[in-house]
Amino acid sequence: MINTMECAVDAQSLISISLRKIHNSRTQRGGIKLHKNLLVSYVLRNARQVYMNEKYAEIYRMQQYEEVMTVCNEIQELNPLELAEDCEEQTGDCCGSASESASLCGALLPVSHQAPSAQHIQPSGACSVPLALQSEEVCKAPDPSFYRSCCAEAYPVSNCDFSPVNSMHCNKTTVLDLDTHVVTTVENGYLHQDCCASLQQCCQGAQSPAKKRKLDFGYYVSEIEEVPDFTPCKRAKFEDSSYASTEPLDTSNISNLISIFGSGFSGLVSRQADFEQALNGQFCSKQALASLGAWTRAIVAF
Amino acid sequence: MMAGAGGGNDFQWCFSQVKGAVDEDVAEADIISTVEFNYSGELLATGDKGGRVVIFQREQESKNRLLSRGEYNVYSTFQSHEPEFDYLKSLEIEEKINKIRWLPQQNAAHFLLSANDKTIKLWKISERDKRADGYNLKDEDGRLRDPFRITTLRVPVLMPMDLMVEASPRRIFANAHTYHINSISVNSDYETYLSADDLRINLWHLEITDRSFNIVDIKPANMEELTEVITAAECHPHQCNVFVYSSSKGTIRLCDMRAAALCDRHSKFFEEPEDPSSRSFFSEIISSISDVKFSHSGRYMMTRDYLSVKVWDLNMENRPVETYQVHEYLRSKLCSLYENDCIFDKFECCWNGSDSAIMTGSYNNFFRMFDRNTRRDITLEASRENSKPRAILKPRKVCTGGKRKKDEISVDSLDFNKKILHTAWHPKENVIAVAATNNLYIFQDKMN
Repeated sequence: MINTMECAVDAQSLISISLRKIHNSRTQRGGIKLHKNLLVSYVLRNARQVYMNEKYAEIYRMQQYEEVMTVCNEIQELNPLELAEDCEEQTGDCCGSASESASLCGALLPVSHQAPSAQHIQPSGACSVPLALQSEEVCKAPDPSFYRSCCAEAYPVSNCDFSPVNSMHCNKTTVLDLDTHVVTTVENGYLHQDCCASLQQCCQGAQSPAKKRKLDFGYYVSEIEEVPDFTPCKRAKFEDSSYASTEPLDTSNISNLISIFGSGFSGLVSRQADFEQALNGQFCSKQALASLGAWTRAIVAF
Repeated sequence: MMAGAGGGNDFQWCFSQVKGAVDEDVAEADIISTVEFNYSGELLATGDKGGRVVIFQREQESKNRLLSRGEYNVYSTFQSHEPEFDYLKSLEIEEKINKIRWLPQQNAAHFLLSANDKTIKLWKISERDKRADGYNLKDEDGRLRDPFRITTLRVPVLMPMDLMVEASPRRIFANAHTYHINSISVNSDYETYLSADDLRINLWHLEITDRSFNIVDIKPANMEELTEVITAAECHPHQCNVFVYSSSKGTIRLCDMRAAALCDRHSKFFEEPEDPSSRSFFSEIISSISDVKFSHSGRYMMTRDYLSVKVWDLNMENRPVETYQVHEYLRSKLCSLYENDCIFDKFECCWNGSDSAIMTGSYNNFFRMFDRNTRRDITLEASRENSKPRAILKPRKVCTGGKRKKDEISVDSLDFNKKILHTAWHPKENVIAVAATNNLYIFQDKMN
């Protein structure tokens, strides 16, 4: 029986449901069903796109506030009295319609200037909390080396350029590629991992090249013709190493699996890859924002 | 022709029989996984998840029972497939029968093909109603006689015996599919047949088991680039060089085997453009085609996706000529159906003998029929409550919102564990077989 209340279509919960299905399919009788897993991967891709679009939108808003605040602060140093109002107007613009954004702007304004723009200001205690949360959830976007540190060919296992707050989301996942029999250990937060899934031009030898990581349907159905030396013991090892480490499937672990998943299925995520390439080194530029808007329109959240 | 609510030329569907256990606790092995009438409609075969095949035969119409047609009784039961284990890949191979297809009858025996995920078997079902009596070399019990004791010779005599129906495997077509077989289809030349799995289609000769021709291969060089799989395939009913296969992306390709040995390039490509306004997380899933069937005439084909049935004219590739909504009220429930895996259910569809009506299943043991001429549709239910002999089936209605009328059932009350995935229509008459989990319902039109 289906619940009377239709489940809240949350991209993140869809991602976790999908990953659980893929995980369960490995122990189903009769072997992994290629068709079903392909369909689940489509849902995963769609949910991931929506999820990331939402995240990028947040990042963009954050970026705008920070830029404006930086300008405001600089202006205030020059002429605190005259230009504070301009700042507040700008923050008003950038804050847009989100009230929490307004509170963030207010939190960043110097205390002495909070009174004239009372409608934007909330107690700094409340403001600081959402600000902290947002920075935790989001990778430190403006740093260009951040993107260069990740690349499709070689995942940096030791030289990830994280902001400290992201470290709480770093997880280790070990993946055995059944086609090439390469073991890869990944320690990354989720978001920038996804960003850089197919950026080719980054990571120009800056990092020690980790082995190429490839997750594909090849590990679902191993064929005699492709893997002549395949033995059951290798499959068992894969089961032990990869999925065991992700139990229980909480959000951060799921995000890692997303990133692993995202590195394969390039046919599925080709459009996403194009989008991400556009973002390389130009994050928060107008061009990226325009494409972001297009993507948000293209995938209508259900 | 299909049932209508009122009188006139409409006829009504009546309950005829139900086969299977009444027990609430359904054994997984008893769940019916395929239903198929033979070419004459005299035989009805079912396959189940336990690898068993049960064949029903229609009894001769007796003059005494004018109000109903002959009933279907069990004719033969045999274990077609057993669970296997592929040691090389550490995979268990399910014994579930995915498809049964009859061969046209050419002599006294009947032949059918049954397929599980990996292996297809040709079964011969033959009757034996005589036995030889009076052997020289063995006695009544079958024990061998001492040859030195034999002093006279006699000719064995054929004696009548109780009818025995034997099923014997005549051919086993194995080791040709790496992925799971989803379809088999006998060609109109009655010599070859095709079998399709997720990525490949093979053409077999019925006499040859040690090799087959691969005629379609959509496996990408790099499996990471996999974007679609084959979901169903069927041979054209008259043109032995033509077949179609459907994909998980909602497309159908028609191929001509005369064009090339490998039919990777289609002759026709059928696809309806997606409506961008209806895009959702689950768009790809609900557009995946679960069944494709040619009409008996060979002019049309029908496809079933999760929410609808479409009829295509083979001469028009850019859109179907008819679209029927099976259970559109489920569109707002897709998230829940994804969670409980119902969205992956593969419904089949079938034509009636004259191609004027089509039938497909739904949930809550409902099944739907669409009359192509009058554009009327009806929803009926296969349930034990309506199983009095010759009881007329009452049309059912699902309430999609607002005030629920009497006799309507609301969407939230539907039982999604009761699904009708497999249905079959008698090739000549208005007799239908509907598989509801572990029960087989047979309905027929009311005879006046």
